[in-house]
Amino acid sequence: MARALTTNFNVFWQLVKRDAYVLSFQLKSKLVDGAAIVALQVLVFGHLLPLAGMAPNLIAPTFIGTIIQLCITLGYGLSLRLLFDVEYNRFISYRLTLPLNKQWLFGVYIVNFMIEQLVTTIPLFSLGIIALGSSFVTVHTSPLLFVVVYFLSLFFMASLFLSFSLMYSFRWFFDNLWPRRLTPLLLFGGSFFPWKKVFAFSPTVGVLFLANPFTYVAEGLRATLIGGPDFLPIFVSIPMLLVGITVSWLLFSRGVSKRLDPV
Amino acid sequence: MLRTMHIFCVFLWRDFTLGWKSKNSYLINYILIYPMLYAFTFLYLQSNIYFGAHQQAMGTAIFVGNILLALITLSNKYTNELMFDLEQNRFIDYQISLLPPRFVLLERITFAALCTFLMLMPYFPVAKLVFRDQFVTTNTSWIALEIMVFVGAFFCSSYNLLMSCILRTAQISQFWIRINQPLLILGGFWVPRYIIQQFSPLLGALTYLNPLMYVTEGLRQAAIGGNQFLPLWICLVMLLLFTCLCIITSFYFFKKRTDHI
Repeated sequence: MARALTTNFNVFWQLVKRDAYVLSFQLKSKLVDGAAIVALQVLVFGHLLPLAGMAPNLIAPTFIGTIIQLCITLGYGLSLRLLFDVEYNRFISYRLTLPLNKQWLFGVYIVNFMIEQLVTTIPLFSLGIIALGSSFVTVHTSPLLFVVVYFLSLFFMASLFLSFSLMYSFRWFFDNLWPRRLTPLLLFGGSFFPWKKVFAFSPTVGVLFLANPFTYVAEGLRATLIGGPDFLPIFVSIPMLLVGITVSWLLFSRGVSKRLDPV
Repeated sequence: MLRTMHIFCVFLWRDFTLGWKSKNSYLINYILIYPMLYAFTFLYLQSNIYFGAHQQAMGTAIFVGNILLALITLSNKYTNELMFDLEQNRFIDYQISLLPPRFVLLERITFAALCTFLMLMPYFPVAKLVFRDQFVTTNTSWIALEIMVFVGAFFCSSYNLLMSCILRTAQISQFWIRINQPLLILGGFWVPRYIIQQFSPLLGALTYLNPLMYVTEGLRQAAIGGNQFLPLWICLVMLLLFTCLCIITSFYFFKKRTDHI
């Protein structure tokens, strides 16, 4: 048992190191891409929309919501990589033959995706907040809880995007993933509007938003970074994120048996 | 010349026949899902939550500009086949042996523009049917609006075809993030041009170089009207000029990639 665990961990670690090494070569380019996105978000949500009449107290919550857009863009890139690999190169077939438990192997994909998201989003997120300056008003920041929510959010996104790349056919993915999955998740996920504002405007729509796990990502990040009574309580967001992770992990397992059929 | 026109039409017919196979999913996505999602979010939620209950005009102005994303993504779906083909099967080599290369490109642009326009023609009427009062159409010229959608589809198709001639598949993701996204956002996807001008006159002046801005300004002029948006005729003329520029440039890059005589 202990020997199997050690073998699994050693192979797992080597694969994580290998992917991190590959990432180190792409990091500069990914940071430039992320910086382009964040600069535009700061311009739109920090300056242009307030000029169009958006209330200044919405600047900070909507900017935090835009981190989801950044994560979705990065996540889409990750699913594309796996999708192309499954369809053409089948490097994953080689990985499936390694002396590594399948759960550990898919753990490698999750961990690497989380590392990639983390090193790309944190510096840009911080730069965005600095760029917004006094427009980014906080009430009570909870750094420790932020780390927990951020970790869970990245874990959720990683399993969700990996499941997308295995659940659907190559053609369906290209034609329909954005209109039928990502756009509804983004638009009805509290990324653009704090949930309580939506609920105050239309309780029915507010309840609909609660069915979307992205709402808990956005609200969890807002509650821990900005704080105050304007967002969903953190003790609601964290358990709901755990539910989201479980569901997406189940979808991922289904996708694995459907597309890869490992023994 | 007659033979050329015949082959041009045959190629166009071939593309329509192939495109017909994926019509169902595109019809659902672009006639139902996108207009409903965007209208609900930007006409209904955003205009009420961001701007207050009596600011439907601003909600309408933003929603009208949002069609830009559908225009550019859909025309890209119809034109990016060339990019993959240039790197893999080279079916294009067979086509240019039958039809002059410039006509092959013109045929692809015509096909992409027509399909994009047909798919997006019901975009605003569907939104109006569902979100009646939220979509302010008291000053709307529906014919001008559809003309702008057509000219926008024509421009986006020629722009995307040019990019298919220039780019490699490995560069797609970077190109969308570094080029298309700034063009979209500074092209009036989120806010009209006069807001950008108000924020920074320099940035406002730079938007005149962005062809996508003429699409959104023309659409807003047709939908809402008023002197805060650019006149329709300027938008049409500028878009036709940018379209010609894209077509001529794509001839040059296509020649480089295919090395035809």
